[in-house]
Amino acid sequence: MQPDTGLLEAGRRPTSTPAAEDLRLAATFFTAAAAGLAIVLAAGLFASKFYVSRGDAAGFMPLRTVHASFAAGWIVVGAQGFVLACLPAATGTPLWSRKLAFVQLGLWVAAGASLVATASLGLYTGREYLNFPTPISALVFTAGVLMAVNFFKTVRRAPVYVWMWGCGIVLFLWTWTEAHAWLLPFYRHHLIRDMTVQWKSYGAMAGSWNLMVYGLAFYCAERAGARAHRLWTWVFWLALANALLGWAHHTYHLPQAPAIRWIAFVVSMSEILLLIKALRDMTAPASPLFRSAGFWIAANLLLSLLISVPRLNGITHGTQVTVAHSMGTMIGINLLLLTGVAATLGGARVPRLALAIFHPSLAVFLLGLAWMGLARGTLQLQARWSWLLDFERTQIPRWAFVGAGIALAGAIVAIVLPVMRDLLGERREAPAIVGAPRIGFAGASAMGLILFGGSGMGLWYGGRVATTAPAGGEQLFQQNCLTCHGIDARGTPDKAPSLRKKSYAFEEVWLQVNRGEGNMPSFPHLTEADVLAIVEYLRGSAP
Amino acid sequence: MNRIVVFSLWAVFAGYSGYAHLHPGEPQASARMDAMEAYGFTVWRERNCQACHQLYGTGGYLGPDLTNVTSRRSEGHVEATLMRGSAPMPRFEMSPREREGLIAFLKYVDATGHWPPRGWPPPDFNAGR
Repeated sequence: MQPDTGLLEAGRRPTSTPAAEDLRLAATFFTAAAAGLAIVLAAGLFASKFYVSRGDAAGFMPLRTVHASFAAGWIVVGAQGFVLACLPAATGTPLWSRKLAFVQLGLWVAAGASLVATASLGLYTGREYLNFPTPISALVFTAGVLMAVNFFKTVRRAPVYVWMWGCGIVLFLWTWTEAHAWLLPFYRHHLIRDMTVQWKSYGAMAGSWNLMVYGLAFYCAERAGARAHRLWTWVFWLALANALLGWAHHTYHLPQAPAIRWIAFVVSMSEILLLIKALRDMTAPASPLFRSAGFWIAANLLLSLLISVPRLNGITHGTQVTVAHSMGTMIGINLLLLTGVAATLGGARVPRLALAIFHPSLAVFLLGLAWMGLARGTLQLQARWSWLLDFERTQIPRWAFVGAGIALAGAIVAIVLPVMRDLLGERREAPAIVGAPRIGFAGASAMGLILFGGSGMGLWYGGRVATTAPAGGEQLFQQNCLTCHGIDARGTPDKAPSLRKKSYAFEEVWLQVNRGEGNMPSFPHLTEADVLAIVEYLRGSAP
Repeated sequence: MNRIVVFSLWAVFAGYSGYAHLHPGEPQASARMDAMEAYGFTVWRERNCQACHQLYGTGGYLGPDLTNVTSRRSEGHVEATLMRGSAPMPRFEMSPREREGLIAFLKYVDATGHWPPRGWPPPDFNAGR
């Protein structure tokens, strides 16, 4: 075993500040990333309409594609830029090629522009998360290769965070390739193999950018005066092990090889150690953005530990609880850490009011999702899920989610803009920019308070609704008829008529249900007793 | 030391990846799609079904999970839904062949396994309602 001189040295050597031209590189990448973030917010706000509207959901498809792709893309672009900008100061070697870095950014911009264009034209691959034509994938992959070339040509000596960046860069290329394995019939014609490899790649890909972002946070901590610690190396190893081997808690329920399930479970539980580290970090002095991220790291680790327990996973998998997990990590951890890096490099002061709105909005946003998810999970396990029943029962978390999302988007803009401005080096007089945002913050925080109160009431109300159990005819109606004929059989415009009348004859309904007619399909699995129960229910519920 | 740990982890990862790629499934899940089913999977992707629907719980959450939809609903019911849409589902202008392929694909998915998994929820889960 050779002694790890790089690491020990990093502990002694004070890290130098990136040079002006490296900062310019960082600012250019971060500006492009922030433009991507603006697209994420816009697409997310428009898409959230479909959570609270009954209308036709066709418009959801391009918005979901753009939102999800840019949500990950802007983090990767920002992380790549900061890694390249910090690398010379961290290693004491100038960047191998600055030009190559700009070509790399150009490829990202081309990929982003093509994605918006193809999504609005309705061109998809139909894959979850990487739902864009394969040539765009090639642009992103090439950008990753240029990044790797520049990185490994520059690195001579390597403190632990440089190792994290290096592993992140390689893992990104690996998982990006794996995510396209479905192009080969060997994968595509075998659903379980396809889904196993798909989720293996997505899970580990998130680990690839986390390695880069966490590495940047360590770098900034060292610049702020913290001493590189042996513990950092352990955190790196644990994070790497989780990124490489912990992905299969995404796919517990696939009929996949049992060994994969067990490895995922054991590795996932090792995150408890990371949780302890995160809780320790929260008490350490650091910039407000990093300290805030510490809180969300702890919260998200706790959530991901809980949903990695197979029993709990059984109720949360296939629901918005997993969305709360992914959005919680992307917004609560990656966004805050990346912005924290930008603030450290650019010397920006983070608007505290914006942070004060950010936290409660994100909390309500995630709780709304989790509540929707638990409602859905419960209905799914009881085999009673239907869109309309779910929709009607979760009105409160849906509106809380959308409202908090609007406040959150405002807070994010208010956090990122000043940070970006300082990184770009245009320092203006404070009052001119502070006035208008203040009013916005006040409005948004009032909204946050209302939402908090609303969701508290919602919890009480939701609990009551959940315990009022339907039985017999009502339950059969909900399972079979409600999607079209609506809550309480009130009907749905242009789809199905209201069924609220007292005079139903059993034979009339029985024939209709068996034959189907016009728009209505037949329901041959319903027995006479079932139909009789439904008729009783309809008679009883008519006004 | 760092070097050794990191490179060992990568070696384990490479081996484990190979295992996951080559031995992904339980016996009933190991069937390959025939031509029609594979065509249906293409339709599934082209029509972007995963934006709203899930298989084995992964996908969008506007619509229902469709892993076992061909067991829960009659073929006519599934086809009628594809033709007319439902409350939030758009009316897709699909050719009869597209519908046929999609139904063949959904039947294939149905045969690979169950979601939610059997044995869950525990038997007393529904006792309280």
